[in-house]
Amino acid sequence: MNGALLVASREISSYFRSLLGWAIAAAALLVEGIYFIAFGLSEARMSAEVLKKFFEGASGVTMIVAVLMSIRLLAGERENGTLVLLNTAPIRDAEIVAGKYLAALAMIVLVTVLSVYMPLLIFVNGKVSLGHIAVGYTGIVLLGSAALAMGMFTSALSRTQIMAAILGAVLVTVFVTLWMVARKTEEPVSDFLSGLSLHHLRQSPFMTGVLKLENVVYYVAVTYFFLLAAVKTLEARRWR
Amino acid sequence: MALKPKEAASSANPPANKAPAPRAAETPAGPGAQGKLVPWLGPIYVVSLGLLFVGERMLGTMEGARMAFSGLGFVGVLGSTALRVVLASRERDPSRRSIERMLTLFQTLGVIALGIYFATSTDGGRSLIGLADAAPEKRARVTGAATVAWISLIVVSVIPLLFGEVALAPMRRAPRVEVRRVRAATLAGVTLAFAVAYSSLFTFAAGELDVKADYSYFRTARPSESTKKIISSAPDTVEVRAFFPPLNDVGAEVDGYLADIARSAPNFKYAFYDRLMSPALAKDNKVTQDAVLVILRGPSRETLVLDKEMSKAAAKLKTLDADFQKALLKAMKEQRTVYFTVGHGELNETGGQQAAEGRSGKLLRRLLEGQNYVVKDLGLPQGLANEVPKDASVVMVLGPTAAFAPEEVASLARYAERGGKLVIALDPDAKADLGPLADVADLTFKPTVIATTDQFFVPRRRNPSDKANLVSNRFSSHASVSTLSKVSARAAVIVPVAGSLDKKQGSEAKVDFVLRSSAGAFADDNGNFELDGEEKKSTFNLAAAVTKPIKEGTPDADKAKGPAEMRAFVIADADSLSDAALGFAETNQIFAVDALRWLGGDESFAGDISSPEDVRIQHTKEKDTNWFYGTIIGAPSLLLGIGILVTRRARRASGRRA
Repeated sequence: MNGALLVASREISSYFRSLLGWAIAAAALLVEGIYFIAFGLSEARMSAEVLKKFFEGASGVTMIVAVLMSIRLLAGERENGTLVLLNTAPIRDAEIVAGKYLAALAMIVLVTVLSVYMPLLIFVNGKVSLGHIAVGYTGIVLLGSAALAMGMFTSALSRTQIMAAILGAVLVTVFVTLWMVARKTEEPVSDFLSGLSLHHLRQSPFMTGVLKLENVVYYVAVTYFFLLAAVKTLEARRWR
Repeated sequence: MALKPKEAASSANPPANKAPAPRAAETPAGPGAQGKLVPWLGPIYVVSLGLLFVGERMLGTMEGARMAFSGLGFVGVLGSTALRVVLASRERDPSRRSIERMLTLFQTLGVIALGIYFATSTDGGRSLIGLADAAPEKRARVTGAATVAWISLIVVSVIPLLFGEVALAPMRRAPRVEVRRVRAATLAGVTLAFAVAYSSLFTFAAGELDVKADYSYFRTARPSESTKKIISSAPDTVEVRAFFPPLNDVGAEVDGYLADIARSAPNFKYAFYDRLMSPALAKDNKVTQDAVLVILRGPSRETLVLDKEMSKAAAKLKTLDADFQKALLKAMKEQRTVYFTVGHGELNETGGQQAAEGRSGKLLRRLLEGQNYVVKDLGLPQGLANEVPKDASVVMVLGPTAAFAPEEVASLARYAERGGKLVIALDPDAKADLGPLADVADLTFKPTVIATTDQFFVPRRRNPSDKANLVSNRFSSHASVSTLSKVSARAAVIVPVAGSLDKKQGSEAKVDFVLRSSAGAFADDNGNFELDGEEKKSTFNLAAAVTKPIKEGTPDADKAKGPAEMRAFVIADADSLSDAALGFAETNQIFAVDALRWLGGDESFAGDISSPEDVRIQHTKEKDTNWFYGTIIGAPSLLLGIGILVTRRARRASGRRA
């Protein structure tokens, strides 16, 4: 675990020292703000509906940020030839993956929390509950966590950052759009696909302020599985 | 278990001192003749499983295609596994034999999974193991466990097999294969397969537990206690058929609502149907569009129409409980008639300025219709002076400002004697003697306005007259106010400008004063809203529930509707049932509905109706500019500015260090 924390602290400091991290955070805020103005506050809507619209926009932005942040984690190291340094360091593959994941997740949480002034603006003229806002943010962080783990997996698979970005975007998009496929199939396949879908049915309850254990477990499970897959992918260099 | 680099290296290049290089005669010559077939066994097995899936799960309704795909898949799985067993036993190279045996094991797991599937999911299999004749509960339990088992086994079979094949592929034609390398790969596959299996199981189990915390400010209405009580009171099953397209957002909201009811009412069952997939059922239920709920109870059928688009259905979802209850009551009970008396300046016939100010009975009429009542007028033209119509379930006298003719009062008294149900809302503002009306219910009415010396009033004009706008939460435990009495700590009824009630001397009626004023109230004899002169603080009766048994030999007693006794609900202030009060305070609506339910003998249905409200955000262009646009531009710019500063400072610091 010490190895993971060491990797995480190194990663976080590199985020703050690079303008790219700040630019991504600022761009995320800008896009979320535009979405909030354009779709949430474009007309006299009910407070809860405005909040839901904000979370819709924020969840999309968070997934994009997660994929963008994940591509350089392992593929970037491999492309720059620095992955070998990590491999030869006295830390396990799982610690490398966990450390890099924790650092990126911390940045995603930071970027997400920075946008909190937007839902709080609803209090100026409307009425929502703080619990609703907290649950919505919980959903976005869990979604970001799952998307980041998927990106981490594709980053471990890829030799270049571009390939990692393409694979990550494809994987996340496939998981997001599974509910559309589910609509065209019959039970029990439709149930399975919609249950596996990353955003539609899983994220909606969070957006409306309902915290369901099932959805929390789902996001944790997806995160765990893809991180495990990333670890196994790194380990696979020994048997491939 | 990860293979350490050194171990991998050692397995790839065994040290000379431990394993001397084999002599030329012992060196394996690569895969044998059968080796050409072996690389195809894994892919054949996986493709065969895919064919089985297509046949069983996607072509289930097309018998011919199903048989072809499933048959081909089954033969492929069994054949490839059997062939692998045979070839593995014939393999002479110990390393290759070890690997093939390992891969055979994974394929065998898949065959076992298929065996479990066919034994528990097909008619023939169920008959074979005796499951077809088992009790439904046992069958469901065994089928559920078997489903989990065969899916898990398939996953644990396929993923490690593929990983093993991938690791083995580069070594297929090599003179030697590395067992450890393949073993490490299959172990990684097993780890991932188990991760898939238990992640799925955890998610499924969490879904079954249905643990949730609802922090939504606005949400789809939940089923109220009242709705649940109405369903539970039904002697037979209440069924709801919901016709929604698959995976519909509105359907998901309705599903949550119905599931809540099903959890608390054992006699309630519901199911969702796709209208296009079940055309016969839709036709039987006269459903011609999506997003329709059909409520069935015995031969009764009621329909509630929503919208399948969430943007359009949102408003209806807010009042789902009220609408569902309305439809439910129609299905549960025959429609009843309530008569509003007219011709005496009642609330229900006011118009113009008075109605605009809220002295009207429109909201009350809507509440009654929501409880499955038909509202009719009853005045001299309808025969009030002679007799109350026989179909009257309830007669309401809402704040008359003119006196009733003696014949009309006598008619109401006869109606009460034969077991009639009355709501008499009196008003101290009336310029007529309303005593005879109170007398019908064995009460006396004092029109002196009650004011209060404490804080239990609603300020409206910000002058002393506000002290007559009483609020009270002093409810009795009577059934007619049961909902409010349970929540009296946080609920109060508005009673603006009320008189007071007392029991008539010598009356045998059972009188329960269900609502009283606070102890700081006083009868304001001189009308200055101040406690002075002879006025004394006391508690006054603001509403009463009166019951009286029907005397033997009363003519037409058998025509009484509802409970076999006279019931009257008398209020000393008609304004508490006006639009102004009902629109302002939801508690007044509950007060009216509970009283009505008690009169109709439906007191067991008591409970508020769930109708959450949301606040619309009203914002101006100026505010948009100042608050919102400023903030979205400001925050990202500020963040970027901080970023530039921090990174420049970091660069300078690293430059100095260099």
